[in-house]
Amino acid sequence: MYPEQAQDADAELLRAIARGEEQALAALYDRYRLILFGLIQRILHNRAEAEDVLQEVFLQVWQKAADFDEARGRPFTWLVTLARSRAIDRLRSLGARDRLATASAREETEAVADAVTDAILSERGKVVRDALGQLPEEQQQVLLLAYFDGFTQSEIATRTGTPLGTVKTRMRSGMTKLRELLGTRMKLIS
Amino acid sequence: MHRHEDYKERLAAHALDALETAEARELEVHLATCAECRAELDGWQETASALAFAAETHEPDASLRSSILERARTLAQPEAARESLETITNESSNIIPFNAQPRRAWASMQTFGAIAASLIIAALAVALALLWQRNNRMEAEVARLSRDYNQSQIELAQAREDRKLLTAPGASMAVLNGTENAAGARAHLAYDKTTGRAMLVADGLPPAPEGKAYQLWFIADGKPLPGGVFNTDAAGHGEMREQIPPDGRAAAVFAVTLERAGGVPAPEGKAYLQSKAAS
Repeated sequence: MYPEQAQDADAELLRAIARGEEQALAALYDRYRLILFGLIQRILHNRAEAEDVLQEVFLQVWQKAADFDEARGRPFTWLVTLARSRAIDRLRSLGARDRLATASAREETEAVADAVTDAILSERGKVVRDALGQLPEEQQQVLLLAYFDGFTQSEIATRTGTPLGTVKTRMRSGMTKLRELLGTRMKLIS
Repeated sequence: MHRHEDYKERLAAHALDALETAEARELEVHLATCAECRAELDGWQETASALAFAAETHEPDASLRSSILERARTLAQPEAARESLETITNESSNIIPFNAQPRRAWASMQTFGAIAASLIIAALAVALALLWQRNNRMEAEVARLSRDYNQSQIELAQAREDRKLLTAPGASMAVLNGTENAAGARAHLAYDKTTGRAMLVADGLPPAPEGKAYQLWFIADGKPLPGGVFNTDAAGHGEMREQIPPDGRAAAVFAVTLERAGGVPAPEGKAYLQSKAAS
C-alpha cells in the first residue's frame, strides 16, 4: 500500500462517488469492506446487525461523499469515523452495550496479545496492534472500552471501579502514546 | 466558561467520543470558533481511527456488495435525493432511514457551527439584557444612596450649626409660651446676638390651615420686625433656622402668628406664641 497514492486514490473515488459513479462505490467497498466489517462486527458482536450497518454506511457514503472535506483529514479516517459512529449508534439503540462490554474487553486483551505473532493479519493491523500492545494494559483497556463499546469516561470509571480523574489521565496518556508510536508508521501504512 | 487549554485537554477523549454529553457540547461550541483545536481534533481522529485495526478483519456476506449497489441505484444523489429517499424509507425495509446525521461526520460541523453560533449569540443577548437590567438597578440604587448620603450630610451640617449656635459665646435662649389661641404650645428660640443666627423649635401648635403658615416676629421697641415662616408636622412640631436682621437682634420680645403662607411684612393674624422677655 503506497500511502500518498492510496490517499489520492481514495479521494478520487469519493469525488467519483459524489458524481454518482456506481463503480467508484463498488471500488471503495472492495477496498475497505474487510476492515470496516471487522470494526462493525467487533462493536456489535452480531453478524446480521453488522452487515446491516455496513450497508447503511456505504449508502451513506453514496449520498454524502460530496460532504467529505480533504482539508480535514484522510478519506480513510472519514470512512472509519462514519462506520464506527453508525455502529455505536446501533449498539446503543439495541441496548446491548452492557451485556457485551465485559466480553469485548476480555476478547480484546487476547486479540492484542495474539496480534504480534499472528502472521496472517494485515501489515496495518500488525502495526497498530503492536503499538497498542506497547501501552500499559490499563491504558489499552480505557481506549478500547471507549472506542469499541462507546463508553464515556465516567461510564468507564464506574465500570472499572477507577476514579474518574485516573480514567481521564489514562485516556489522554494512552492516546498520546499511541499517536507517538503510530506517528511515523501511520504515514507508511496509510 | 473554560480556557482554551482546558478544551485542548479534552480533544483526545472527544475523538474517542468519550466525553459526557454536556462536556462534549461545550467543547463543540468552542470548536466552532477555534481553528487550532479543530485541527488538533482532526489529528486525534486519525489516531482514534487507527484503533479500527485492532479489530480483526472479517469478510461480509458476498451478497452484500450487490445489495448495496442495487440500493444505491434506487437512491438518487443529493440534489434529487430527498424525494426518492422518503419513498424508500417509507417502504418496509430493515434499513434505517438517513434522517439522522452521523455524529462524527465532518459535514455536520458546519451546520453545528451555525447552530452553535446562533446559540452563542442568543445566550449573549440574554446575558446582555440581564446585565443591562442589573446595571439599571445598580444605578438606581447608587442614585438613592447618593441622595440619602447628601441628605445625611445636610442634616449633619445642620446639627453642627445648631450645636455651634447653642454653644456660641453670645448665645441666648428665649422661651415662647402658647397664647390663648394655643394653650398647650411652647417654643424655644436660640439666637446669637452677634451673628444674628437663630433657631426656633416649637411644639404643640395646631396644624396651620390650607394657605396659612406660622411666622416669627422680632419685637424691638414695640415694633414687630418680620421673621421667617414655618409649618408644623402632624404632631404640632415645627423647626426653623433663621438669620435675624441687624435691627431685630436687640429685640426683647418674640412672637409667632398665623399668617398667609408666604409671610407678611406686618402681623395680620392672631398670635400663637409669645416670649415674656429676653434673657
